Amino acid sequence: MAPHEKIFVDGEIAEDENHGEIGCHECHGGNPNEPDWQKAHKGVTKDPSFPDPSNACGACHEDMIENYKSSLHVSLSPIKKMIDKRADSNPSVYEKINAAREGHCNSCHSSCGQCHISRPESVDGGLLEGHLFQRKPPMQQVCTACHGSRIGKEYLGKNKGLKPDIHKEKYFKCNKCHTGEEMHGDGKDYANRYEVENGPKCLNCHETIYETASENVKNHWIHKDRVSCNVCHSQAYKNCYACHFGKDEKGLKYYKTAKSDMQFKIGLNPLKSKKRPETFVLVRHIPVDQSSFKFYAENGLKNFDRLSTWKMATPHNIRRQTPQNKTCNACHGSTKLFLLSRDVEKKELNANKTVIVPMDRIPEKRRND
Amino acid sequence: MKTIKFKHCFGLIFCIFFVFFYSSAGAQSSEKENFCFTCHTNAPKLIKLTRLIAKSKVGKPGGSAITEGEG
Repeated sequence: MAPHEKIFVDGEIAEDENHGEIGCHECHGGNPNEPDWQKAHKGVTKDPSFPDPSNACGACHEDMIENYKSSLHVSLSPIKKMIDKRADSNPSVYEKINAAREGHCNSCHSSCGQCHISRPESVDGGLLEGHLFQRKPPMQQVCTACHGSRIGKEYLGKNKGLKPDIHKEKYFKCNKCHTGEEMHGDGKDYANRYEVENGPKCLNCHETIYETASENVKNHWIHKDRVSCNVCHSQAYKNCYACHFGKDEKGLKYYKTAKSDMQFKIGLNPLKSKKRPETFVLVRHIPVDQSSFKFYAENGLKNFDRLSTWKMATPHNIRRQTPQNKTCNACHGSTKLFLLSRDVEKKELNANKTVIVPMDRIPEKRRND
Repeated sequence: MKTIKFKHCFGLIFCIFFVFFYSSAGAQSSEKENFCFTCHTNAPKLIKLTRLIAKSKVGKPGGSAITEGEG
């Protein structure tokens, strides 16, 4: 977006029956009667909905913002929990880690405004449709603007040689599965996004797959609660390694990831629960390294091995037919599809012991394929 | 009878006035009083101002040049 486009307001907003009557200054502050733009902008808040939307959006949408603090897009709480678990508990070290997390990781958040009015600040902002309020955030300008390098490319079919997600071909936007209720929080402090109760579930739409008359019913029953849907229906996806961050000589924040590659790895379910009982799930390497916080604290992630670096993944490139579900033996006995200890860097073996698949747990080849 | 007609005519005139003039009068007043609105809805003005701001930022560092990779 050109700089002026980012701040251009469509005059049509005055006709908005809900928001048109609200003066700009009522949410953003500043002085609307001052003709000098510099003086007029004194005290202006760019995003009045962050960190607390109570006075702006909440003045009318009280029910929507009731649980905003628990929205993962606002709280980023699972990131803090994961870092805390790995961090050195020594207060002097932890303080440095926590400050680095707040300075670096916390800059990637969202808010009411940064989904419904503008693009998120982490992708340089810019008003959507000239500040006309968007009931449903536009997918490519908001959702995949942040979730772009993995989810966006997978969903839109931008990874070389791979097809887009079948749901994209059916014209689904993110909000078809990821509802407002999920985005707005429900008051619970979840440890990870897979726990969110009103998060998307394949069975919400594909509820008939276990019915007798359903196609492939036998295969669905055989694999029920043993294998996650993604294991059979996802394509290869991106894995990122070793993010390091700090400040350069000019004092500017930098981020560096060592590499990224396309892989497809089935691992043991690290988050096995009543809700996710499957033994096998897809796992993706996340961009973390024991020395990620090195710039701020030497060996700050002292307890690095407490969590795996290959995390449960739900790649957004679903297809009905995939290379691994063409035949039984396309998967059964196919060691290259499984996360084995040989696929994991030596220094990360201990951290990943709960997700690495032992050779004797790989499903055997079937005779009558 | 005459009173009723007069009342009807007056009501009709008031309605016409209300329908045709109310919205534009509202818009005009908001444009006159609100400099946020007049400036931020004026694209040429915004282009000039953003160029001015960009000029004042020349030489100031943006993002770090050593950022690299995906994540």
